[in-house]
Amino acid sequence: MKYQDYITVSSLQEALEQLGKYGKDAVIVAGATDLAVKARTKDWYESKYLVDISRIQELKGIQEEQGKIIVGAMTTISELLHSELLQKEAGILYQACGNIAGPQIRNQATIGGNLANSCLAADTIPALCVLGVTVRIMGQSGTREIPAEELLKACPPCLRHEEMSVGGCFYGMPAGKKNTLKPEEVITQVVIPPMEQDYRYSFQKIGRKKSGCMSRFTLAAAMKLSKDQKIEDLRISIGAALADVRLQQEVTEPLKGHKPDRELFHTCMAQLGEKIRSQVRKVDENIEYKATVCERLGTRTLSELAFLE
Amino acid sequence: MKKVIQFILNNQAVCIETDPAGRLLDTIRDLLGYKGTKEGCGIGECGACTVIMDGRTVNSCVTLNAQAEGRMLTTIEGLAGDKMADVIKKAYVEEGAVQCGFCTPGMILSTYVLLKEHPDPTEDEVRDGLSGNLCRCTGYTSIIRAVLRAAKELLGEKPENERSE
Repeated sequence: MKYQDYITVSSLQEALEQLGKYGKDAVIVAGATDLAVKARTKDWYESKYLVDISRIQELKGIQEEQGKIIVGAMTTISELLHSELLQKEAGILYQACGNIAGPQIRNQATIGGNLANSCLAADTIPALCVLGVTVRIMGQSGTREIPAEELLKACPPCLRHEEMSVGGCFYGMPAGKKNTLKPEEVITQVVIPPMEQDYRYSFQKIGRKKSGCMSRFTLAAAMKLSKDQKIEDLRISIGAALADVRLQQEVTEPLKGHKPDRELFHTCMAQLGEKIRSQVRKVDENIEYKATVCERLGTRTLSELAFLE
Repeated sequence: MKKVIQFILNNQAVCIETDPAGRLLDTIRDLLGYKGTKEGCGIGECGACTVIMDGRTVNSCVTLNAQAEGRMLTTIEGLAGDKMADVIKKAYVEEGAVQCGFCTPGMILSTYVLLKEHPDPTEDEVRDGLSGNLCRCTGYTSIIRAVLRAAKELLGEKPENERSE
């Protein structure tokens, strides 16, 4: 890998100093599982200063704070999977994490890195959107906390990236392009509001293998039924098939107040299937596959959440 | 660009001057001469480059040298003479779980860590625990048999009150 300098920092203050110093020439190293692969295919980082934040203690750990789960950005996917708190209160994220790569990658990859890399096929992201998490970000001008949905940006060029394997990623430095992070900023924590007990949720991943593969289609869905068995809330996020991984509110809002019904769910998911198709001028096999999966897997998943099957 | 990096490898202190953003895999194989760790894909998907770092498996092909600083690393060579590893290796041999042998170092390391965390794994837990290690020869069934066999032997070997953590 060609680069200018490798700086390991031991505190947030030091990190911010280095990031402020190098600005858009700073590249953050967390778990390095994405960076190390991207560096193989292109000299993305030749003019960059690698700032290694993996030793900062303040970025580690999972705590409960005022009823919310605070996850340090450097928390690994494995650590998330070992958290009973997460399994109980944010089960959809727990399900998502179990689908990521294999144990070795999960032992190094971090939730902060998964967010900051902002890949459309990232598995934690749809789950984080459904959970309505906020992300704490530190920069020169202090700390800000924004919903994950405001962190992410829609990225149509990524749709051309067949199977979106890490090595061929179009963005060596996603900051600012695939998300709203400023170059001198660092994600410090993810704040997860526990999912209410009366929500039923599901995380579905489709890939070429049972494990260890990039997602071709992911669906994160959570549904709450009212006492009279009508849809009180429905939250859907689709990954790896849409340029925008954020909640599909346009499609889910009209379902509120209705009685759960397979036809209704089919209409909803077919709409999303059409949205997938409409992203490209010429529909190809890949897009067609994802649109079909969206319709069928989506309908089945929503029906299961509503106890219809 | 070179920096001094220090870590423990196979219970020996290592102090080297090398590229901090270079691959740990290259350091292990080329600089330190431990050839048991293999390169299969170079992108963290096949597990042939698996090493244990602070008790957990990692893919050394996507681990930067700087990440090893101050950590305890174990390659397959480091398991030589370890009683638990010996049982695992014997089970692999007995079940025909070694054909070309290329995936084997990574498989053994992943098995070792798996059985430490799940001494009595279900078949699903074995599949999940080894899901980061690909094998092109065996079709996995003999490997899974070997892991379950090793688990049984490790549980049966030690009497109830002498079982370690």
